Order: sequence, then structure tokens, then C-alpha cells
Amino acid sequence: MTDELQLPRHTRGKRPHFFEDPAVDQMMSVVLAMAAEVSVLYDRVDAMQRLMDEKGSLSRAELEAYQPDEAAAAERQARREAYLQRIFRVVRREAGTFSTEEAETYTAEVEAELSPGS
Amino acid sequence: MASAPHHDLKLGTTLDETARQDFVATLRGFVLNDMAGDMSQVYEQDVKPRATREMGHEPATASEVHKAMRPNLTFKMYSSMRVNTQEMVWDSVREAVQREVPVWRPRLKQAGAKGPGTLHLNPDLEIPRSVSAIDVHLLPGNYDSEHGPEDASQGVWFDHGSAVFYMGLLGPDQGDIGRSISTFIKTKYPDFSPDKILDLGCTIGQNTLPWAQTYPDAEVHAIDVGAPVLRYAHARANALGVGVHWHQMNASSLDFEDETFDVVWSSMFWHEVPIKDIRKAFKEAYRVLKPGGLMLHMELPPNSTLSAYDGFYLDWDSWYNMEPFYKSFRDQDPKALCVEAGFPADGFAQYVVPSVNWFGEEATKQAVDEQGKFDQNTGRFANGISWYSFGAWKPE
Repeated sequence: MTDELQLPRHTRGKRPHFFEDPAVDQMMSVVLAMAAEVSVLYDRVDAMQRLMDEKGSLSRAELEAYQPDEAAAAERQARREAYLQRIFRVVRREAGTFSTEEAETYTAEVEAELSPGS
Repeated sequence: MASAPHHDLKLGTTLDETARQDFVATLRGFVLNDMAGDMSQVYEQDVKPRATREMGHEPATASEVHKAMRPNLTFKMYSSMRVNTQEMVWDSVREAVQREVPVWRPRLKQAGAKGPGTLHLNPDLEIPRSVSAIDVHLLPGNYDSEHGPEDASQGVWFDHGSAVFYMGLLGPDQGDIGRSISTFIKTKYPDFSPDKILDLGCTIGQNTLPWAQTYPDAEVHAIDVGAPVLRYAHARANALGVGVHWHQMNASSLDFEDETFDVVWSSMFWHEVPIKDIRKAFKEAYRVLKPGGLMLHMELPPNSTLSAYDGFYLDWDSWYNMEPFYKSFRDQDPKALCVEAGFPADGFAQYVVPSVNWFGEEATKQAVDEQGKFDQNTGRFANGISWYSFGAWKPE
């Protein structure tokens, strides 16, 4: 017999927020949690494929106990890194080749160029 | 990738839990490398020129940089993702702790009972509000919450979450800080052979054990205010076969006699402690040190050694990672703190020690002649890490 253990899910104190609308902060949390779960699914599918390749069949127990060897672990890690670059492409926009100020100037110039009066 | 602790008290994780931990570790890498790099670039190209125009001078302090950064989109995205990543670190091991700890309570108890270490809890100790009122590092329940009799879950949670957090950078036993610095001291001062060593604010003892291993003849004591972390520290040390005496005690008011220890050590501790308690604790450290003894603290480097931007980057944790005393500690002059506590100014020492886990033991030993060099790797993970430490020798 063991006593059940219930650990807290939330911290004491105020949770920091960064956006004007706190809903945006919560949506970021949901997006990141979903991103984690997609990665978990991918790793599971990857484990299934590797076991199928290796053994030609698949058992639940083998799948749940799967541990990648060094080469597979490196491939999976590279997949995770590329995955993050894909899904968070937009958050790296501001640090791109243009500075924001340059981009604003450029946009203003383009708009002036294209406006009917020019 | 996440690296689980190497001892008998290792949590079993499911296929999906491992994948979740690997994801979080990778996400941390993305936030701390890619996004942190973006943020520094955006500061240089956009935020600094704008703030300089508005203020009439370049942001000169960590707080001025913070103020200028707050409205910036890259700062917001970095910060939001970092807070979430920190929460996800703990969450990625929570279910495993919940499932496994009830099953291995007898194993914990057995490991605790078998020695070579001893455990001394004090249920009457008043837990300081800097621990009981908040959840440091966003770990729900912090170092002190108990979820049943003789409960060690928060210690288990802290250890296994830290393994995900540090991505294996601190070595399999997470003892790199204690190992690097004790190795450095032993090499630099070959005639200094401590009989008794004390660790303050030890939590689960990951940086206590290396001192016992570097000085195998020394008697090692370690204190913390949190009972759950001490219970786990004790069981974990015994499982690893290292003898340490663990005490539930507050560093600001030690129960030890005057002139008991040759070394009073701590790691990553003071930045979680209010400054008035730090002052008391340094006086206590002086009191319990033997003449000729060394007080030595591994810490984040002081703000005065960093640029305004780097100060802002480290102070982030004070504002958003539930470490409210981090900044006020790092704004202090380490030497002044030691002198105030009674140490002579010429006894002050500071060392920048290359990580054993990163550079190898030989590099750490060779560094004994190059102490005190600060660079962009001091106290943080970048392309290799060096640990900052400071303290003072008590006169003979």
C-alpha cells in the first residue's frame, strides 16, 4: 500500500506577464505546451518506425521501453532543433538583417514611391 | 538532452515523459542561445539608440536597460518563452515524482538509515519567509513544502528537474560547481588540509559531496532550512556512499560552536537570501571558522564586473524567475560584505574557476595561476563556463 502523492501544479505568488492582455501570456503557455506534445508524438512515431525497421513487428512493451542509441538520439535531437526553428520562425523576425528603424524608413520610402501622388 | 541523476534513487520515466523532458531541454537551448542572441542584437540595433536619444545618454545600469527593453517585442517573446520553459522544466518531471516517490518511500528510508551520513532535523526551526512565502525558480512548493510525513518529494523534484534544466552540463551527479572549486582550492593550496567543512544552503547536497570527495579525510556538515531537501540529500549521499552530516538550520543563526570549521562553503545560495540575512550569515561564518580558515562562496558575478546589458541579462531572474533577492545581492561589493563581517581586507580572495565538466580537470588545475579573470563566460553558460567565487581567509 502506498499513499498517493499530489504535487502542486502552480507556483505561489504572482505569475509574471509581459503582454498588455494577460490572455496573450496564457496563449503563449498553451502554444508551448502544444508544441511539446507534438514533439512527444513525433518521438513516439519515430520510435515505432525504428522498431519496425529493426524487428519488422511492434509490441506495446517494446515501444514503451524504447531507448534510442547514440546515432538515433542525435538524429532525434537534430529533428527537435529544426522543429523549433520552424515553429518559432516569426519570433526571430525582429533580429533579422534589418533593424526595425531601417525597416520603418524603407517601408515609408516604398509607400511614398507607390502612392498615387508621387 | 536531459541527463538523469546517476544513483539508486533515479526516477523511472515513461517514453513520453522522456520525450517531454528532451523537448524542454531543447527549448531551453533555443531560448538561451537563439533568442538571447536575438535580444542582444535587437538591443544594439534598435533599443539602445532609441533609449540614448530619449534619455540623453546610453543606458548605464541594468535597470535602465531593463526599462528600455520592456516594451520591445523580442524581449517580450524571449521573456514569455523563458518563464514558460522554466515552468515546463518542473512540470516535465512532476508526474514521475508523483508516481514513483510513494513506491520508493521505503527505499528512501532505507538509504537514509544505512549511513555513512547522519540527518538532524529541527521541526521547531522557523522557516524564513524568503523560502516559505515564495516558490524560488518557479518550482511549485519550493524547498520546504511537505506532502506527507517524512516527505522528501520536493528534494526529488528539485534534483530531477535540475537535471533537465542543466542539460547535463554539471556532470551526471550535478556536482560540477563543488567539484571544480574544491579541486581548484586543493591544487592552489596544497598545504591547506581542512579537517571540518561546512556547506550553507546545501539543498540536495549536489555541491556538498564533491568537497567530501576532494578531501576524503574531512568531516563534512551541511545545512539548509528545508526538511524535504535534507531528507533527500541524506538518502542520496548515502546511496552514493558519501558521508555527510545534514542539519536543518538557518545560516543566519548557526548552532555550531565558535572556531569549528576550516572551510565554510556555499554555492548559488546568497542570491536567494535577503541582504540583512546575508550580513548576519557572513558574521556567523566568521564566528564558526577556525583561525586560518577559508570562507568561500560560489555565486553569480557581481553587477560591477559586467556591462549594463549583461547585468540586465542576469538580473532578469530577479524580476521574473521568483528570485527577488538576486539583484540586491549582485549589486553588493563582495569584498565589502566580507570586511563588514570581520574579515581583514587583505584576506579577501576571488577566483574564476574553469568548469571541470566542460574543460577537464587539468584545465581547472592549470588555472590556479590565472585567478580573477572575468570574461563573457564567467558565471554563465556560453562557449564553456567558468565559476565565480569569492570569500576571505580568517587570520591565523
